[in-house]
Amino acid sequence: MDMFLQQLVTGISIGSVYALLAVGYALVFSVFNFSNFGFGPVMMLGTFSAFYAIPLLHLPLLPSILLAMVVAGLISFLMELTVYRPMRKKKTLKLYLMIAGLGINTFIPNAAIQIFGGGVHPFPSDWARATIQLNTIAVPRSDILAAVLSLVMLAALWLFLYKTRTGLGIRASSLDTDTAGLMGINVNFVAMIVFLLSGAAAGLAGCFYGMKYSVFPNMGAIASKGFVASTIGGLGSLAGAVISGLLLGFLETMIAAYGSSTYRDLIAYALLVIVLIFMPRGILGKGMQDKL
Amino acid sequence: MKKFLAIVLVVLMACSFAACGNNSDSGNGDSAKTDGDPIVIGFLGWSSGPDSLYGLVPQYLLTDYFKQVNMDGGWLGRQIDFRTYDVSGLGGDFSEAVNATNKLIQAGVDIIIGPSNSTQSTAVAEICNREGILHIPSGSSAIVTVDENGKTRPWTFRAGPENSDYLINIANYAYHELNNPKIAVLYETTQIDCVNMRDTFVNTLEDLGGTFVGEATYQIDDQEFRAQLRSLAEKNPDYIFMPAMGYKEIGYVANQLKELGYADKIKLLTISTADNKDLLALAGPALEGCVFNTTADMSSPRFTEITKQYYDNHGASGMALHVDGLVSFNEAKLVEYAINTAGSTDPEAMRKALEEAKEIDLITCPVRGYDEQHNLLGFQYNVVTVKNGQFVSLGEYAAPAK
Repeated sequence: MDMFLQQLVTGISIGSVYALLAVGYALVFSVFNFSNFGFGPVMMLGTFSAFYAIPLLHLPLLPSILLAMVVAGLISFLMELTVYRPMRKKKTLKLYLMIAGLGINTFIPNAAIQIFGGGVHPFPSDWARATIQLNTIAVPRSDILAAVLSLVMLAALWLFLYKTRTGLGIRASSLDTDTAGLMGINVNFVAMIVFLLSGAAAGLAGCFYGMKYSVFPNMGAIASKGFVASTIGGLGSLAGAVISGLLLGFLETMIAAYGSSTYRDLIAYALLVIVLIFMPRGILGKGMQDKL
Repeated sequence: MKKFLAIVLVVLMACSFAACGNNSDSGNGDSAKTDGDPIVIGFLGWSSGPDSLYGLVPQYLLTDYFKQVNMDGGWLGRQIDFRTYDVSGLGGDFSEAVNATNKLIQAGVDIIIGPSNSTQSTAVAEICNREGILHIPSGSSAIVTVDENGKTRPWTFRAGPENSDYLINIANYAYHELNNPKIAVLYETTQIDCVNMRDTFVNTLEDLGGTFVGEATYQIDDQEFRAQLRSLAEKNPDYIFMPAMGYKEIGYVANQLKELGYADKIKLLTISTADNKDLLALAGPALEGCVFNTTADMSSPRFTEITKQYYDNHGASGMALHVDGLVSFNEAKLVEYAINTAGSTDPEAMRKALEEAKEIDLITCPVRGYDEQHNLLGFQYNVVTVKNGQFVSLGEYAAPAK
């Protein structure tokens, strides 16, 4: 039982990172019907900003996480402004937007290696590294922080989307961006908010990832798991993204613990295929009108 | 007009990136070479992706070295034209290494050095041995210098120890010097090198009568090991042996062992991949008591000058000088030996020089030439532990002769 509980904690902890990433993918997809594959580098650059801010600006942990969210949000928006928006204006096929994202996903980490070096660094927070012992279960503080801040972020996101006029605009755009534009909604403003929010989620996920593991230029590769979770959950569904992110983390951990890590990705990705065969819109993806 | 501008911009970008590297294919075919032509040396390394530190650090060392050689007048009065090619990392396949090798051969390369792992090195060795090009990879498994029929590849000479030597050495050390502890193994299944290293270690340990209590696996670029560690801990090992190809995995495992509360009773046992000060930064306190063997005692005066030069020139890169980088640096010393002993860049003469070598002073240690399978003789192993967050040498160790 102890072993199961320990694995559960581990699964929730990694799952919360996947969930945040999946939410970032879902936000962009819900409005623009494409997946931003440049999401990994956004996460990485946000995390590096906190990594440097803590020792250089002597920032405490929470403000540095906030900084990472702001920086990642701005980079995400910059990506929309300089890459996606010009392509959208030209009515470029969504596929090309995703290919541009893949290009960013290769270009930025390699540029980062030249700038930051290829080394792997610990996140500079001793507080986050400490562990709390609950009977025989060891829970790292960073995992508790990840769970709390992820919940806060998701709750704030829900309130923003469902209780504000801007949120209403985003939800209207998610139904049909063109019609929303004709109805007077500023689609570019919606895009800015969506990319800022998804970037902030990536920055937060990146900090947790950095605290749990390390900070390095290719850390954004983990975002592919967020994409898988987002797809299983139902592309564009925030609730689906959260549930499937947690589910993916849980499954991966249990398979590695009670089976073999060799079969971990095999089973996780087979699950993706099976879900898509029987539920082509994902677990919670119903119709286009149900997005977000 | 916009389209034209876009095309011009893309072309300009491509040209500027090409100019940043030094991979220009300006060389002529070998047949067109004269005595005044530069000596073309191609380096295949990993300078992008998550394993870039294993390519960039050697690349920095080698570039500095050849620059100095050229400033001193070159070899045989000829300048060195050193060309580097990125062949992805551990996760990459061998196609980029094959493409780079073919490109180098077309450009009239004299010697190819690298890469580090068996999958890529074997693919490069196949081509070099077909074309009669001297090839010096840094280490890896037996299959790099010996083909599938058990025949030694005449043109491929190793610059570092063969992987199984490391494993036999550390298995013996564990059995004889650590008093036959209970050992579990955690290894990566994605790469043939890791699987081979696991097999050699376990076979050696079992032949010695050692205590192997269980194993778990992971995949390349994994970060989460707590599930496997918890399972392994149930078997009460004293050590977990990790034949890892990247130091970050060792760091993650050490940190997660500590987080789970096992660090006091379960220590890590590993190989030279751990010989990297960046690992101490990543997991210093969690590594306490970790033991590994390596081909160099980096604290010895032998490396003082190289270390100083590296940090003076490349300290800002954020990558520590590591022993795998020094093993790759051995490749340059072997090239130097082959060319200067042969007195030319005639492939057969250089090959013969290496095959008949009796004594070569490499970067990591002096060696006594090659055996029949083109493995270097006389490599010394240094055993290191982590004490108070620092690497502490436990001295040289040689496995007892059977």
